[in-house]
Amino acid sequence: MKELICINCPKGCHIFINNDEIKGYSCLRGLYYAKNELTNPLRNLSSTIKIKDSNLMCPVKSSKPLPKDKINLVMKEINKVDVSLPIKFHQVIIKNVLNLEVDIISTKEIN
Amino acid sequence: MENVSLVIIGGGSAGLASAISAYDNGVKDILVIERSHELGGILNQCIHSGFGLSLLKEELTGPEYAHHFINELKKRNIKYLLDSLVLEINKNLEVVYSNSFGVNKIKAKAIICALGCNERTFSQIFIPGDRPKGVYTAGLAQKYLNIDGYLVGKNVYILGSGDIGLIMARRMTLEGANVIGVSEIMPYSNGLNRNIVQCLNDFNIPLYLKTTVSKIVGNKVLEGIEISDVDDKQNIILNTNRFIKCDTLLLSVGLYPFNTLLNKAGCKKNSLTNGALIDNNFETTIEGIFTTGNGLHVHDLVDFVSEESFIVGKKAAELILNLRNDVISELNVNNKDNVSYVLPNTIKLTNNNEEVYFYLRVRKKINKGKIKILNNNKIIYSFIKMYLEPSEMIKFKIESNLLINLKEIDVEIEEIK
Ligand SMILES: Cc1cc2nc3c(=O)[nH]c(=O)nc-3n(C[C@H](O)[C@H](O)[C@H](O)COP(=O)(O)OP(=O)(O)OC[C@H]3O[C@@H](n4cnc5c(N)ncnc54)[C@H](O)[C@@H]3O)c2cc1C
Ligand code: SF4
Repeated sequence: MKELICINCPKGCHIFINNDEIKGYSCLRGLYYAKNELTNPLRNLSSTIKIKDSNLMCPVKSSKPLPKDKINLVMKEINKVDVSLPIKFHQVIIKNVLNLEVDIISTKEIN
Repeated sequence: MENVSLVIIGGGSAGLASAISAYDNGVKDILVIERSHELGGILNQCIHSGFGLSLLKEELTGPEYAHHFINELKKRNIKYLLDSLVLEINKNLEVVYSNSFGVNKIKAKAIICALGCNERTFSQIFIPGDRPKGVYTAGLAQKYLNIDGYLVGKNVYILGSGDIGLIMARRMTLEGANVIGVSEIMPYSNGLNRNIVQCLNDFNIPLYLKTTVSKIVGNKVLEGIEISDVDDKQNIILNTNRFIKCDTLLLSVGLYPFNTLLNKAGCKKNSLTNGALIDNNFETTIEGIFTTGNGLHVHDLVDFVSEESFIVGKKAAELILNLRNDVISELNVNNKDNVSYVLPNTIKLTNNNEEVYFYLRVRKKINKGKIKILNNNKIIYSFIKMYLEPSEMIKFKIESNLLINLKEIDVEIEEIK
């Protein structure tokens, strides 16, 4: 039997997996998480991107969860680029990063 | 002197929500004063996701959560000042602030303080050794990295397993630092389980429970630390010390309300929270001065800050618009067994039968607890709750008619074996 802690909300349900049986989740997001965790673990990524001609950083995130084992490679891409002002809310900054079908988008409007 | 109905000090999540709610409850003449160059407060540096699930039913990053509330503020055309520091408030409800135009004074009908919290620093926890460069609070390191783009160190040790420390363990690892480990003095982590999984386990960062930093090594710059085991009473066990080489120590050892303005104005302080004493209207001991958010007591989740501040905005509006009913009875609230603090401290009842909200924290981990409100040892309200933890605030509300004509109530938690 394998035990997981669901990371999808602060409740942190303990989920137990026994062959095909999955128990202990309180909502469907937990079931979905447990299934993915066994085959292809996914994580949200947040980081920052340098703003051109400014001392400040622009916060960004992945538009969808990414495969966990690609996080480090995506971080390298994020640290390669910079972005010019003005920045719109949820502006796409890196489209389809590493062909993962996930965009890196801004999480703040900066003028 | 300029007059404004409602002045809100602080434009973080508490200030934003109380402004929006006061407006929606009929007060249109509002001024929010914020010392930073932008609204949003601490949310601006919390770039990770984990905000909004309970209130907005969507998991957002800190800046996105702030964006939602800033938009709501702008939709209502509520006025705000940035880069403006409030220096003083007083019992006449005057607000003195300073910005690039100089020092200005305004008179309000009510003031809401939404000032946020401070991090406990080095001088507040006792660690022997020098105070070299390389020791930071976790929140300050977070600000340097996420706002200014500056990584404070390469080989990092973290003291305290609160969420900010855990979030920073992941964030610094992603930016190329080597996070050696996290020490927690208690036998359990104070952080959320989800953060242990996605911030430590995902990156194979060890968490050492029942250990603490017992020595700082290095005089001008940090060269390393010693960690030691502690016993069940959190005392260091001799000869368990081991040296760990690192250039950075992050402290994630707690937050406390930021409260100088209220203290200076003469609002009575709550020594248990470091915030102010309040009644069930969130009003301090000075009429017309309200307080909310992390400046009142430290919240676990921003959603709870917003929820609380919606109530506070409404309460301030009721005062300003003369909608308050006469007080028919008044009582004190005492915290008793297993309760580290409870709010409000006094309750003023009127005949409009409004519910009374309680906020409290348990002193230690309790598996099954009975939360009780007593008057002269007689239970007037109780309920059972599972898995009580100091890191999780307990909130509930009761009908005010249960309290009418009482002079005093005690709030306690009985541990059920
Ligand atoms: C580092 C950190 C990480 C967190 N991570 C999470 C998380 O992952 N998930 C979650 O749900 N919650 C998290 N929280 C909690 C949540 O973000 C906070 O509880 C909430 O945002 C606090 O809002 P606030 O308005 O009370 O305080 P703040 O956001 O701190 O706002 C206070 C504002 O008042 C201003 N101010 C103070 N004094 C003056 C003055 N004299 N004059 C003018 N302006 C003044 C400050 O500049 C600031 O903008 C975190 C909190 C911290 C500190
Ligand atoms: S299973 Fe549902 S309720 Fe439980 S932690 Fe996951 S998301 Fe939250």
